[in-house]
Amino acid sequence: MSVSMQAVDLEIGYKNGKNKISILSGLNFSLLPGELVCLVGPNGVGKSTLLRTLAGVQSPLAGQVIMDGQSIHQLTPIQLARKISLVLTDKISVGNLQVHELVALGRYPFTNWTGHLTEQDYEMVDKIIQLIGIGYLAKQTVHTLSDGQLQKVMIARALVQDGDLLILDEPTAHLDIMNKVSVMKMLRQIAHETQKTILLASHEIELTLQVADKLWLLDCSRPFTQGVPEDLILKGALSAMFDKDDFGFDMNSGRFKFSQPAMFPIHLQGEGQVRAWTLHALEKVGFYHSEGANVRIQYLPHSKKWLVEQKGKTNELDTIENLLIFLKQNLPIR
Amino acid sequence: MSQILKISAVRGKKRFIFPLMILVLVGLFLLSISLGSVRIPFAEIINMLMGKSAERASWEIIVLEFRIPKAITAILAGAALAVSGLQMQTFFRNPLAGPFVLGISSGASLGVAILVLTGGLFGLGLTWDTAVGPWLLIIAAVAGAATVMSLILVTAIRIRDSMTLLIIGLMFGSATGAIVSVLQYFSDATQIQAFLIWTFGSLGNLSWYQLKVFFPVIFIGLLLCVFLAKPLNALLLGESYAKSMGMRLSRVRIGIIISTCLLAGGVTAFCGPIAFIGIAVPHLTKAVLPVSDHRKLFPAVALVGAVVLLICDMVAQLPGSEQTLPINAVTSLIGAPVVIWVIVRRRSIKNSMAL
Repeated sequence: MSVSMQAVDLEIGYKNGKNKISILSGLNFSLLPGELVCLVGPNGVGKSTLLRTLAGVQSPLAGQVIMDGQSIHQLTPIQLARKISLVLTDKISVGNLQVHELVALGRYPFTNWTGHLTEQDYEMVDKIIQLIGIGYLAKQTVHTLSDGQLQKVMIARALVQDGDLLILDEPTAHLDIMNKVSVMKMLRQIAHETQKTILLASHEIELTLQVADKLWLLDCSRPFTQGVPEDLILKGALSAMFDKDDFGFDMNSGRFKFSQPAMFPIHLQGEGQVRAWTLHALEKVGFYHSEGANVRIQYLPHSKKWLVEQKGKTNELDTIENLLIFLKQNLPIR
Repeated sequence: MSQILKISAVRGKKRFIFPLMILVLVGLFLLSISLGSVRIPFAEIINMLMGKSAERASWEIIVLEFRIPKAITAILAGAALAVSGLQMQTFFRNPLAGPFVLGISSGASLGVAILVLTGGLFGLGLTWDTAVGPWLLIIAAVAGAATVMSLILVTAIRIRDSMTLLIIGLMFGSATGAIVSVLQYFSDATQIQAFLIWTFGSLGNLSWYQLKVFFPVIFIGLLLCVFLAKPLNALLLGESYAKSMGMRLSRVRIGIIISTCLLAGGVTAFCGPIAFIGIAVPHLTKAVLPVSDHRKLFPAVALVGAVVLLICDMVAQLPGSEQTLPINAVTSLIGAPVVIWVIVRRRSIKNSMAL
């Protein structure tokens, strides 16, 4: 199987005069064509340093990063730019530039010294603009774009640069939830369709679980871990990484949960969505479900009301909000 | 395919603007050499340009030896300052940058100040009136500008961040300004006046002989832009992106400094520190011609710069009167309201400029 990038005994960090500040060492991994890999980890753990090293921007303290049999840190800037393209978090403000011009800038490492675009260059730009689905933006000036549109344009620019590896630093930061999902889905699709390798750093763990072919976990106290997300979940790597007193990774749902101290037992009858969200609301304020508890709550589908039974008395409430108010007033919590 | 055709259509749309601007420039050139304190019929001007002799010999001298060199100087200086200003604004991603942010004009004024203000010590009365005066002034300005620029260049090689370079340039400017103040403090009134007159700027001091030096200096500076257009386009996205596309930042930075040194340094040496054109013309051009591609912007900015400085020069002549105004005062007096008008009309500086 071909490999697009390989790291051998890589040690990353900073050189400060004679002092070496090592952040991570003994890294060995391969990136495969057509793979979407998400790098996940808390702030300050060295994600950016790793990405910078893999992008060839920063030299490693030891070891090598190899593409096509060559160490990328020995390539000229142009050779490097033809193999790896980047999408950064830098703010873009380019005045009068139009979208198709910005995308065409990605041809930089291929054009001659005047920057003249050949017919092939234009075809490439056109193809990518269609692939990303931003044809309707092509003639707009860049400052009129929304954050979500701009991010897609920047991804198009990187694709036009046509390297085997695309590295993105937090591509979904500043985007609303719809755009986060659409950008991530798009990246997955691009990786699979173009057989390029896409490596991205993200804080959207729930989202990366859904799209990533592989996950890289970086944590201060643990060794570098990689694998298919589902394997990592089952091994408990994610729950170990995000194990805090009042916050944790729920292995059942693949989501993060605030763990509230459970203080008061209730018996919640029923099933389905209504029961799930009622429990959700009750857990937030400190109730927990316990079979045979004294307080029983039941949802009545006909009247669309919640029925509370305690000490032989029953009350009907019409919303979860009123249910919570009633419980707080009548039960000894908080 | 349809998309490509549409994009090509956009590429060709603004082409007619360039011939138009060249026509305007030629028209202004003719107007400029027909206006002046001595009234010369327009037909005679055309005659002289066609190589025929004029009715009066004095007219020939006025037009051929004074007005034409002056108009050519205005065109070259306007183009040079505007282009150098555009380079600085894109390179530093700062709309307030101009040709002199790296300390060129302050370096040149330091050189001239040392020459003029300490000249008295050696018994030299240095003004443009004497035979060696102009060349000494030019050499002093070049020496001063070159000293400051080489200091900047040495720092530029060592530092990574262009913003730091900008601040260092400003600091050099302040320091040299301070030395000039000290020199002025200890000089007598006539020397200070001679220095002040230099700082007002002047387009009329160049003879054909000096133009032979001025022209190639500016020409080489402008020629370098051909090589700088591509990296400057990439720099629109910021240094990190430009580097990720294979641009060698250190080479480009040196290229830009050398080009600006020739353009802004050359103009300052021969014409004095002409303010405003360098900052204002790029903004003006981008407002008129909404493009960001430097392959189009450089020629456009050069043309607009030449046009604007020619107009300023004509205003400075105060047509119909014997008096002239200092060119520096005119560029700012005309330019400031124009730029304010353009910016207010565009509402947002961020939208019209590559900030």
